[in-house]
Formats: sequence, structure tokens, C-alpha cells
Amino acid sequence: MFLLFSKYNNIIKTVTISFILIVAQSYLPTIKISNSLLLYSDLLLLYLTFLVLNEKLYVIIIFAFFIGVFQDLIIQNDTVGLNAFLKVLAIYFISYLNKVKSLWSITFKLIYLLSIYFFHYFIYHSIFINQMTLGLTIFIFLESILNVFLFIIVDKVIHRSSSI
Amino acid sequence: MKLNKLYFLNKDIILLVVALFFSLNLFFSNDSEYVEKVERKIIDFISYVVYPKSWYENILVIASENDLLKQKIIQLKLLNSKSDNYRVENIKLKEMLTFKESYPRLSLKPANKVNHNYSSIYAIILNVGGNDGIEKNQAVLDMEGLIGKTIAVGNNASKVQLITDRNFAVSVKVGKEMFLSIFKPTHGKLGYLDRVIKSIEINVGDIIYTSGVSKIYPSDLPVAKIKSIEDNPDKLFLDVVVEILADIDNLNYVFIVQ
Repeated sequence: MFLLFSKYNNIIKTVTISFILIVAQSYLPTIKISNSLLLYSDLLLLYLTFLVLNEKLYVIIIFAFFIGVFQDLIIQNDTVGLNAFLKVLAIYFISYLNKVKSLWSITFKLIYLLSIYFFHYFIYHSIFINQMTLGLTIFIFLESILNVFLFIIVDKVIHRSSSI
Repeated sequence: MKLNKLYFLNKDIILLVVALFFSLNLFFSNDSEYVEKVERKIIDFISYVVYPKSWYENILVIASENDLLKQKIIQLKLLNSKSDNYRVENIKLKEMLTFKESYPRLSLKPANKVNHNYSSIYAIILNVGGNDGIEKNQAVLDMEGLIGKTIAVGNNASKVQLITDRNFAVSVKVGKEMFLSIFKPTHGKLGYLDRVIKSIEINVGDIIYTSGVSKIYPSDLPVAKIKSIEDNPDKLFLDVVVEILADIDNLNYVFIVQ
């Protein structure tokens, strides 16, 4: 029983954290840019980033898929599958950082992460926006920077800068 | 070695592809305006990407259609010229019918020239013969005038001695007095009238008709037109040169007087 518990311990822990993050996401403060533009931080994306940098990729791909579907069902049930698609794709590209951990500088790695976040949000928002403007692109860029910034903070606090 | 080639087929890639496939499947199964918008964009993108291929295919299709149309144009041109020939033939046949009706007392058998008789330039072959009731020594004429007589008759074809043959002669009547004379050909479409007395009143342009004296030629068939009249004091008769009326050079449809 103990062995069985220890085998699924990680899964239970991850699912529990994810659930907490989904709830926390709803109560998270936002930065208001304009009446219609609010900067959010995607806690689940951040959590998946940590996971993919520390766990096996194929497990995280499956996990990202289900987290994405779950997020879609809660946030925007008109586009179920969109977050799952974007999260799986983003996670796969972020996992490349594991391969170049000792090759790239920390700055370059963060730029790479920023560009992945940017494309993730860019595709996500372009689905809901009729025409992409420079203002919106800047907004998406700021959103990506916010998430990278949060990642750095959490990485320093929890992992002591060991994830990236 | 075989496994090395399939190195890219690891768990991560397989799961990535499966997860992307299912997520896209889920996404496109939604019935919302956002999904429709994405579908429209994808269709636009695909049509943009595929455009050069479809353009090239269109060019090929147009080129083959062009070839086909060229062939059709040639076929239609041939058909058109055939129709034109039929139209001309129709006009000619109508004229022949009118001509036949203008000689109600004569029994005229229409015939078609098959080809020239290569043994002589003064004879032609017609496509009617003994089976059609044609006999030897029957007058042959076209719509302009006399062209000769049958000299040999087979079952299905007949040979006609042309009016231009040097050995040809026909009794004709000249002037208002209906004076009898003999028409004899000289060269080309020309001929002369033999033994025309000087007292007779004739003019250039008068039409010479068959006299009907001969059993072969019925009377009043047009033969020739007077081209010139010369009164030589040293001669007893007039020198009358005539031009044959029949269109000998362009013979096609003719009549045989039965």
C-alpha cells in the first residue's frame, strides 16, 4: 500500500498543485493597461515550464494536454482544445532548454523562453482578435515579459535558479 | 542500424503528435465563430499556397483546351467549306431544274461528268449509261448550250464527243430566215459557220440554234454566238466566226436528250 502510494505520489502532488493553481488563477490580481486590456499571468503555463525543465517530457506532454483541455473548459468553452494545443506545443519547445542547459547563457535561455511565451500568447489572442495591431502586439509582449519575470522570481525562490 | 534510422520516433515525438492531433481535433469540433475564423484563415492560407499549382494546372488545361479548340476550328472550317459546296451545288441543281422545265418537249436525263477521257481532250465520261436508257448518238447539253453527243455507251457510263472536237459538226439555222448552215469547231471555244450566203441578214451576237434536220440533235438547242462576220469579195460565202455557248472548261452537270 505504501509502495503503491509512493508510486503515485508525484502524480497526486502534481494534480493537486494544478488544481490549486487553477483556483488561484481566478483570484490572481491583474494589471490594467486599458479598459479592455488586462495583463494576466498564466500560472499553469509557468507550472508546466517548471515541470518540463525538471521532469520527463513525454509525461509532461500528456499532463499539458489535459491541463490545457481543463483550462479551456473553465475559461473559454467555445474553443476547447486551443489551450491544449498551444500548451503542448510550447512545452515541447521549452523542453529544448534541457538539451542546451550547459551550452546557452542564462540571458539567451530567457530570451528563448520569452519568444516561446510570446508566440504562445500571440496565437492565443489572434484567435479572439479580428485584427492584430501594434498596440496589441506590444500588449502580448508585455504579457510574455510578465510571465518570464514571474518565472525568474519563482525559480529563484523555489528552485534557487536551478531550473534553467 | 535500422533503429538508428528511426531515432526520431521516440516517445516524446509520438506523444507530441498524438497530443497535437487530439487537441486540434477537439478545437475544430467546436461550433463557434472563433473556430470558423481559424478555418477560414487556414483555407485562405492553403489556397494561397496551392495557388501556383492550380495556376500551373490551369495553364496546362487551357493549353490542351486551346489545342482542342484549334482542331475544332479546322473541323468546322472543313464542314463550312463542305456546306458551301452543297450550297453551290444546290443552286446549280435548282438552275438545272429550271432549265429542264424550260424544255418541256424534250426528255432530258441529268448526268454528272465523272472525269475526262484521257485518250482525248475532246471527250468526257458521264456517270449514266445503258442501264439509265442512254443510247449512242444522243445530244448532250449543259445549261448554256450544246456540248456534244454520246459516241459510246456502257452499262453505267457513256463517252461524249465534245463540240470542240475537230470531227464534230452540227446542222444549225442562221438569221431570221432560218438559213441552214453547218457549225464546225476550230480551236478553243471558237468555230465557224460553213456556207452562209452573203444575202442573209445576221448580226454579231446572234445566237445560233440547232436546225433539227439531224436525227441526233433536236431543233432549237442553242449552240453558239456569232463573234464576227467578214464579207470577203473574193469568196462566195460569208466568213462567220462563232463562239461556243457551252461552258466546256467547267463542265459538271449535263443533260442528255433522250
